[in-house]
Amino acid sequence: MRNQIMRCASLLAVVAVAMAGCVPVVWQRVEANNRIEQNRAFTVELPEGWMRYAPVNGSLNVSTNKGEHVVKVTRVMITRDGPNLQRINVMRLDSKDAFPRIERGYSDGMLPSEAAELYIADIKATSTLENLTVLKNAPYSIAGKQGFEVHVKYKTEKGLAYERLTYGFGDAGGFYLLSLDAPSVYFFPLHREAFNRMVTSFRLGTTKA
Amino acid sequence: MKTAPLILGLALALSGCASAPVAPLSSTADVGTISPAEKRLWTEAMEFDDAMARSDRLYDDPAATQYVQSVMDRLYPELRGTVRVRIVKSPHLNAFALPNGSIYIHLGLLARLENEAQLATVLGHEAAHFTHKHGLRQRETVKSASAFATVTSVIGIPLIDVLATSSIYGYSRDLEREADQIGFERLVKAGYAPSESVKSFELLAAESKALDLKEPFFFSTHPRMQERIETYQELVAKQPATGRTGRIEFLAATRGVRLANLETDLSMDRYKSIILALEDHSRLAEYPPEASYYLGEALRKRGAQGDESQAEKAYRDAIGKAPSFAPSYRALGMLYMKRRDGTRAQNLLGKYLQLAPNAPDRDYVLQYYAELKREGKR
Repeated sequence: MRNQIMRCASLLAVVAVAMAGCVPVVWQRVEANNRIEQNRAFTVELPEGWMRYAPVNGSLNVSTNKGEHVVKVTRVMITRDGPNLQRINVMRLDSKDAFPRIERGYSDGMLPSEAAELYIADIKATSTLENLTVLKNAPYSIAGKQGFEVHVKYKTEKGLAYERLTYGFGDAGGFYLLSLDAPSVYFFPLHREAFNRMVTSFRLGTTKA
Repeated sequence: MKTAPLILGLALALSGCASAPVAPLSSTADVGTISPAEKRLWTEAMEFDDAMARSDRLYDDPAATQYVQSVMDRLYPELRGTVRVRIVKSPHLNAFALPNGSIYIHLGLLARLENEAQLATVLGHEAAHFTHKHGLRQRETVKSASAFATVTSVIGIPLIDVLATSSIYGYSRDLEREADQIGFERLVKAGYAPSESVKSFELLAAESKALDLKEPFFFSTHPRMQERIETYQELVAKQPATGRTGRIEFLAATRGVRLANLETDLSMDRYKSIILALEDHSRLAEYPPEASYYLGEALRKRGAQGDESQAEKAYRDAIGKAPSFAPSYRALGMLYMKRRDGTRAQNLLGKYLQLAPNAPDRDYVLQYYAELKREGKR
């Protein structure tokens, strides 16, 4: 009986290791030689000295009131001191998955204000963000595309005040989001400039992701 | 294989002490005689109340809150000042009671009810959880099943969450049935029409089904909901078909509540809920005139065949009935802008900016207005 249990446990461990191997998790320090993130969806310049995380097979686990589902993304996330202190995400989602928590997509002809409205509804549906308040919702042009700038404040489940600044837009190739999340005190104002430099450097990729 | 009997044995050993009968509260004076175990529950509940008060989650409308409280006081006059009702800024169809007499009713549930008797059904039921100490009794049950408590704490759900879960998601079937019975007796005693209790269940059950809701729900899951509708039908059958509904008072006191809930629904993209509430013309007529704008927005968001022209009609209706309500002009202007009807769009967006010069979306509208102007010159 004991041997059987041991064999079963070993088998499970092997399966777990094999499955973990399918999802490359890559953290790299941003240096002069890799500060430009270039993929099929976009090009963006990252601040040196930060840590970057760019999964090869990007996906987001999204929770809706109908359960969990996985959304395909092309994404780079960077942080300087750890994702809880600051994180900048740049991502492209398929149009149909643009607002995954409310299960809505981006469609051609959608006005920037309509896309912003859905984006806000989508983040309101995020169960871990409490007391969400919109501080700014205005038009913004990124890489020649009309989009939005949405600035919100919220609290984490543990009561820590955070802010998120997001720039977003859609085009025929998909829906793009660039966002900075950081605690309101000290970190958010500190990293805003670095984030804005990234936003200015953002260019669309030459081919669809 | 040997661990299961061990846990079971431990559970039986721990659950050996049968819980003593719990006497219900009959007046405010009884509050001073509560047991130490109950005091701990009160402390937990008061901490929850404090957290709610500090948060941005309470609906801040003193008149509406006072009205709801007055209905509660009519049902439980002996507990005036002990049972406190607060409105939660949430579109969900829910209400819950804490062991210290705090009752929370969600904006969504309040907005969906049709009259005071239906509100009294909800409040009567929830306050019964408090008067009959269901929090304490549920906790005793959970303690008795200590094997499960141990297991659940191992997987990260502390016991306090079991209590919170029962308050918010529903007590055991027996306790819910008892609350139904006591709430119903209070409803009748206060002079409300008993038949409205069944209607409130049926109304919300239909809505839950139509919207395929998976969220926490006042009447719990479907099989139990159906069972409870039947229980109420039996109770109603024994009563004379008299009593007041308080429809006029309810509609007057909850105008702001219903409008605020439409705004919340819209901001969370819950367009199906808005359409369900307003596509019935008799119910739409009960709402303030601005409600037609929300119906138009919900139809635009749904975007099914024919919705655009229905939305246009709803926006026009809102402008006709509430001409100083700015959002209707913006919505209709944007609809015409998409149809490339520049002149009409410009006029409507201009009117919006005139009526709401400091609107939060002013920058968008200014941009659209400028683009329309440029296109008009070409």
